[in-house]
Formats: sequence, C-alpha cells, structure tokens
Amino acid sequence: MIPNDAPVADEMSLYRRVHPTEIVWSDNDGCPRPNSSVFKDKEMSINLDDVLKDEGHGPESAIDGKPTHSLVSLTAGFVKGEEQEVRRTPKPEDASHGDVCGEKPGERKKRFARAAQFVILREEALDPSVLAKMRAATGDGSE
Amino acid sequence: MSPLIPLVPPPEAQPVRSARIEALAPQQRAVGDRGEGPNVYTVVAPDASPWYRAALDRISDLTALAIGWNGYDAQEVKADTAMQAVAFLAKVAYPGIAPPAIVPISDGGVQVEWHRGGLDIEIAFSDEEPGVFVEDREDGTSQELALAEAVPTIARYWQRLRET
Repeated sequence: MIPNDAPVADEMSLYRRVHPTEIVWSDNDGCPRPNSSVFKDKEMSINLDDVLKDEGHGPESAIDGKPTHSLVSLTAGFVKGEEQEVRRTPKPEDASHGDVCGEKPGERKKRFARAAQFVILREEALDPSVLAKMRAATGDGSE
Repeated sequence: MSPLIPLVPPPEAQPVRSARIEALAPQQRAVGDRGEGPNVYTVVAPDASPWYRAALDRISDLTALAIGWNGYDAQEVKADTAMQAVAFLAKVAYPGIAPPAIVPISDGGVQVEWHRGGLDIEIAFSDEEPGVFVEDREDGTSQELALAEAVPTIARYWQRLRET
C-alpha cells in the first residue's frame, strides 16, 4: 500500500475523466482534444497511476461504470512545471484519488488540454460531428 | 479596398435575429439512470444561419446534463448561462462562419469555441469565470478579454473563422 505522503514521481501518469461533450475537434491540430475547461478546477480530481497499479488495476478502472467517458493522462512532471501540486487524497471508494492543486488561468488550462493524451477514447460516444472529422482525417470511412 | 474586408458584413452590421427561449413543462429525458430530467428549453430561431438551429439544439441538450455529468462534481448547465450563449450566437451565427464547438463547463456554464485558421477562441459564459480567451498561433500571442468583447472578437477574426 502506498502511503498518502509518498512522493509523486515526475514520470507518473495522472488520469482524468472526460465526458463526450467535453471533447472538441481542433482543425488547427487535426485531432480531437479535451476542452480546456476540463482542467479548470483549482483542486482537480485525478487518479494516480502508481496506486492503481499497486491495487492491480489498469487506467481503465478510472472510468468503471461510466460507459461514455473517455480518459486522458498528464504526467506529474508536466503539472508540477505548471506550478501545481499533486496531492494523494484517497477516498473510501477510490484509493487512487488525488488532486492537482493550483491556479489554472486561461493559458494554463489550454496547455493542460494540449498536453493531455487520450488513454481511452470512446469514439462511439463522441459528438457525430467530431467523429466525422476524426474519421475524415484518418481516412477511416467505417461506420 | 482592404483585402481584410469581409465578404459579408460583420456581426454588428447583420440584421438582428431573435431567439425565443421557451421553458416548457418538465419532460422526461433519457439521461443516464436519472429518475427525472431537467426542464427542457426549446429554442425557436427564425432566419438562422445554416448551423444556428443545430447549435441551439446542442445548448438545449446540454441543459439536460445531470449533476456530476463530468464524472466528478459538475453542476447542471444553468439556464441563464445557456441563454447568454444563445444570445451571443444570434449575433455571430451568419453564413460563412464555421460552426463552433459548444461545450458545458463544470460550474454550470457554457463555452463556445473555434479552433481553426490558426486561432483558438474560447468564450466562456459562466458565473465563476466568464470571459474570452484568444490564442493566435500565427503570431504566438494570446489574450484574455472581458465577455463584453466576445462579439467584437468574432468580428475581428471573422475571416479566419470561415468555413473552408
């Protein structure tokens, strides 16, 4: 069991759920990405990868019971570089829960959104317009 | 004649369109496993641009999101912020401009945004953090503006937001 005061390694992945309505298409980037407001909270809930692994779970467990949510990851090193603190704040029902704490003004939120990588992207739940653009960009015309 | 003069008039020179929002009786919505849904706001939008009506439908749909919709502790989209977004779109939704993305904000707000033409424009209708954020990738600048600058911002960047 990982203690709550254990250091958070820079390379550790932090997972954040994303609702399908929060995923937008960027013509500038040619890919879908989470909307910046996903990362607005001063205390932003995440799941810590080391605790998930310690419990024998994969990242997909962070969206258990949420069939339309996707999952993105940020590294702890990235958020620390954005003047954030990563806290281990386990909950009775979620031992891997943590918070990324700090101010997140407009530019910072956007950097979070750009840095976030989809770990699980539930295409079937995406807005049809986003899905159509994604498939057009990848040349995948399948339904 | 400046090459930057748009092919159609800027938003403030466009005919005024009216959007009427009616709060109907509560209806059941198929949102997760909730026992009951929120009020549904039906928007009537005459003389709309090609995407205006779809945008209003999208906002109406967002008002049906349940508390905690984001997988955390998000609030329901508030009617007043939804209506602010509707009013804004009525001023900028004219032919030529590409349809924006419209997303909910966890504080109960609505965000309207464009990511095209080297621009990232985000307009947040929110009680907590209202405002306009513009990033221009061409010159590397970014700016945060008051919500009152939303329509002028779109007028300023209209040509780069055109559908291609």
